[in-house]
Amino acid sequence: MNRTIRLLSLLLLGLVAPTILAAQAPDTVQGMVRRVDAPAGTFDVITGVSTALWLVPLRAGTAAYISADGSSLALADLRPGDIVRVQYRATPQGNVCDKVERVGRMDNGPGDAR
Amino acid sequence: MTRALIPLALAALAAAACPPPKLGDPLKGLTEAQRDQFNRGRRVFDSVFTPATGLGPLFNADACGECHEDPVSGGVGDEVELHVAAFRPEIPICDPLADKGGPVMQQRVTPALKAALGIDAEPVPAEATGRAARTSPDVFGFGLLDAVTDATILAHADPDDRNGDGISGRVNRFFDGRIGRFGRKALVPTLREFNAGAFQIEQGVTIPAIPDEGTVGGQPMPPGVDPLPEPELRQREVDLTDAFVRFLAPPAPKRMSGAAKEGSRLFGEIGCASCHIPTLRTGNHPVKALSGQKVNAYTDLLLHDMGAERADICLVLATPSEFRTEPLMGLRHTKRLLHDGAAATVEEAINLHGGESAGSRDRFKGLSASQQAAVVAFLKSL
Repeated sequence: MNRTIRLLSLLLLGLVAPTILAAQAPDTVQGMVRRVDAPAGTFDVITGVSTALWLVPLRAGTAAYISADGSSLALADLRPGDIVRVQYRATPQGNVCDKVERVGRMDNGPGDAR
Repeated sequence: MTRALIPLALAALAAAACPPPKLGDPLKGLTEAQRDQFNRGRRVFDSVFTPATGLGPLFNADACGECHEDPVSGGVGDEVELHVAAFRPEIPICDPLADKGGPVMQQRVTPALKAALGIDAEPVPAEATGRAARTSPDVFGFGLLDAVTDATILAHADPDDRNGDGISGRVNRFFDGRIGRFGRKALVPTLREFNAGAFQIEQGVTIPAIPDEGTVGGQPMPPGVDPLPEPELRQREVDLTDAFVRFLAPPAPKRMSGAAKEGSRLFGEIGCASCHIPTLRTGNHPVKALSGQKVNAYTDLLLHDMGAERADICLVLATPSEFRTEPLMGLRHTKRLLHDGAAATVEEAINLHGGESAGSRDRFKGLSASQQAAVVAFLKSL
């Protein structure tokens, strides 16, 4: 009996685990910061394909690692016009950032994250 | 002497036997498989979508070939689009109003959307600080423009006018920082994106890269107006369409008359060629027909200030008065000139140049009547 339950549990885990992992797999977006609300811990990024554009609203909690050139930043250090690469997860509370890397300024292009 | 003429005669025979591609033909030097992609892509390009096959709910055209049709598929169209944006000085950035349906506003709706909302077009966002009219360009030779390297574009840029010639071309960038080149404001970095985006933004046909119909002026689509599951077009059809556009040969210029040859010289002399650079060279490309080729496009693919009179919207780095130098290849097939179609003739288009191009415009005006006619003859040979 115990063995049957164990086998069934393993089988169930095998079926469900990929779904759980897929749900947790982060998305990545690289785009331009349009707005930052540091007190609320939110910002949004413009991205798209050609002129088909959309906004990605993001939430940067205390667990989010924000950086530029390897140095840590606060959300308040981000400015509209920054080019950022964001790793985030879709959750019931919105898109929650794991990592935010400033990779440039729009006027200078990527590679100038100062 | 006779022997010396033999190679020349053979070259002339070869040229006669191998005429340049006709308008709408594929590039020379494609493989059989690439020509097959081109031909199948043309069928997708010319397909007319309906609401039952994915059109809308918002759209500007029901086929690629509706806006790029004259005189053949890939040519110009008489449609004029509405684009919007908001310059927000308090931030300060140019906001394309992506969350309100911008920057391209769809001018048509399906019957289902009209029944649901009672609208005939996407509402223009109240936040828009600028509106722009945009004509439909031809897309001949765009594959070659796509194959020009970023380094080549940057080599012509002179944002601070260090050489003091009054011309200060600079790049625009897409939102992820890549250098743009397609579109009147040089927003779009690659032809693949330019083609793919058009399905969703111009026809309301969703594709794997954009499996979403977007909003109606920022509001969600009403339920029931878009019955087909997303994406409405397979990647295979998107790729074929891309192949058709990519492999379209550039328009072959007409044989130049003596006056046109003189006009070509004057075109350079009065400074037009500072922005309308006659020839760009493509970089290494996996498609042999696009690799290391000269393209006589008469553009530098950079933004230039065209003056306050032609100014309309900002777009990322482009200010309202900055536009990408329009390629002049195939100019003789264009019915309305300039980004907004404000000019019906070449002479009018030259006269409407301002900003950085005001000097060249004024030098053109200072030419004799026969010299002006020569410049126009040259431009009409392209």
